Amino acid sequence: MAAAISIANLTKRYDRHTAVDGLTLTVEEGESYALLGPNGAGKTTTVEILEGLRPRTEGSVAVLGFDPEKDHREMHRHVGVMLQEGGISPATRPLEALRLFAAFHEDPRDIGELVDLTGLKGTLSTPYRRLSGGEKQRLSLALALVGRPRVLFLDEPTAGMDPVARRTTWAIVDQLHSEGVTTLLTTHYMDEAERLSDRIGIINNGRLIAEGAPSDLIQRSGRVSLLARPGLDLTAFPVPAREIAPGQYVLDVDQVTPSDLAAVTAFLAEREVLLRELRVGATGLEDVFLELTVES
Amino acid sequence: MRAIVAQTRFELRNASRRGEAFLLLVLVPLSILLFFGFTGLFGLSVDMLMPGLLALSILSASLTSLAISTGFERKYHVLKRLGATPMPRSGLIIAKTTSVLITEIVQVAILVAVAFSVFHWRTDVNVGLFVVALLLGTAGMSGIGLLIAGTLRAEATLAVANGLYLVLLVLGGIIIPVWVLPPFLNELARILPAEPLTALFEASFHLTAFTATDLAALVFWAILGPALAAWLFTWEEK
Repeated sequence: MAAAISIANLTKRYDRHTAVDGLTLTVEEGESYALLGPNGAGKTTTVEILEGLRPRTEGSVAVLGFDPEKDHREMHRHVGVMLQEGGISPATRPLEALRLFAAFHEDPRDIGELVDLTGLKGTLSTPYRRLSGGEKQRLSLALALVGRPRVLFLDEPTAGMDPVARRTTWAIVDQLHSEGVTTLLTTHYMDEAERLSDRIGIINNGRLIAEGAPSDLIQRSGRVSLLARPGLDLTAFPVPAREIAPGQYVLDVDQVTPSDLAAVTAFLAEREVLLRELRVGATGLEDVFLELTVES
Repeated sequence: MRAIVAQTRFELRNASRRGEAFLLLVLVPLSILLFFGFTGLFGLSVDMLMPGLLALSILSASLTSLAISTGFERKYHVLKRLGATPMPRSGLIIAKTTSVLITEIVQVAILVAVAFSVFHWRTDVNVGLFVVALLLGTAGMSGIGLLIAGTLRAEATLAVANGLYLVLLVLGGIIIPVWVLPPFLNELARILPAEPLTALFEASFHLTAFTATDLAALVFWAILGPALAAWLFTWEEK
């Protein structure tokens, strides 16, 4: 498979702050890739550089072989973009926005078909400011799809959507995936990343700290975690441990033994601390994400 | 081309929805014309008012209204979103310029139609000079409008653009002739873009003699305004 998106040693600096720090990754054609990371990790900056909305400081990027800075117009004939923020004026009606964006492309999708696909029927003449959060997101998705993109950038596509609308959006992304559209998704929802992507890249402080299929990332984690009262004295713990979130602890051991677990439960019992959960191995992507981002 | 036509239509539709734009673009110049046309207060006749009111129309469309609409489009990330489409930035600028020019043509047509039908205004026009003045005035004031919109936050743009409208209304020879102003304001008025525009419209109606300094002042703004806007305009608020 050819690379639809390639990023090599990408660096972006704002004055003294480095938002993206030597990032390298590749997304194959037809692949669905999720970029995860805490706030300020460099996800949106990376995506906006790929979209040609920000210049890079160093490194090289290509989308379908196009340089987003130099081949901006040609690249956007084949690329759909869903920004994190709406980008629509408050008085604009969805139908007007769809017609305008359709006029930017030589062979746009049929607007009626797009409206059915994204469930926008009934909102077409409502001013943007009166749309619900989910409807705004669906309009933004429809605008990204109007030009029949080969590559789709989705920046937090389901933020503000209710569970039903989220699943509808997932179904649309699934359908596009089955049609061979390459998608690069950023999200804070781990279930969304797990559900929609073939591969996940986790970035923190502008660097890629882990990459792989969701199931690989989960299996790779052999950690022991427990939930108990926040603020335990970790210096007295029988095995090395860290508190990665209030009340959520991770044991820093490569191979956990039954005696380690017994020592931990005994330690807590002696202090009359209720052990609310003890887990060996990660059960979800969120655990892996927390572990990796806190570690890095 | 299709994209630019669609964007121009979109700009005009959005402008037609803004009540404050209608007030600024049509109601204010028309009210001034009707008020002074009927009352003749301060000895102002329609002949004397028309050049200034046409300059006021250019000022309101190409500076104030353009600055405010662009400032809020920048705030709402509309400009950023358009940047992620196949339409180039130059296409957006052409569409905005075209919509400003169409707005000005409508404004001029309304003012002239009312002056013609209500006050039986007749004039002999040097069309070439009129068009040159209109285009230079539009270029200069659009440049200033985009400079404000592209460097300040939307709320500040709103305040500055409206403030500048009032300043240029007073210093533009639009209602009050600049020679009645104190000498330093008189001098200031002559180097700002509104007064030379009024003066060139007066010359195009053969009310006053053409002066090269007015043309030079408008050319200066027509170069400086867009150049500063092109240099300092940022597509997103920081």
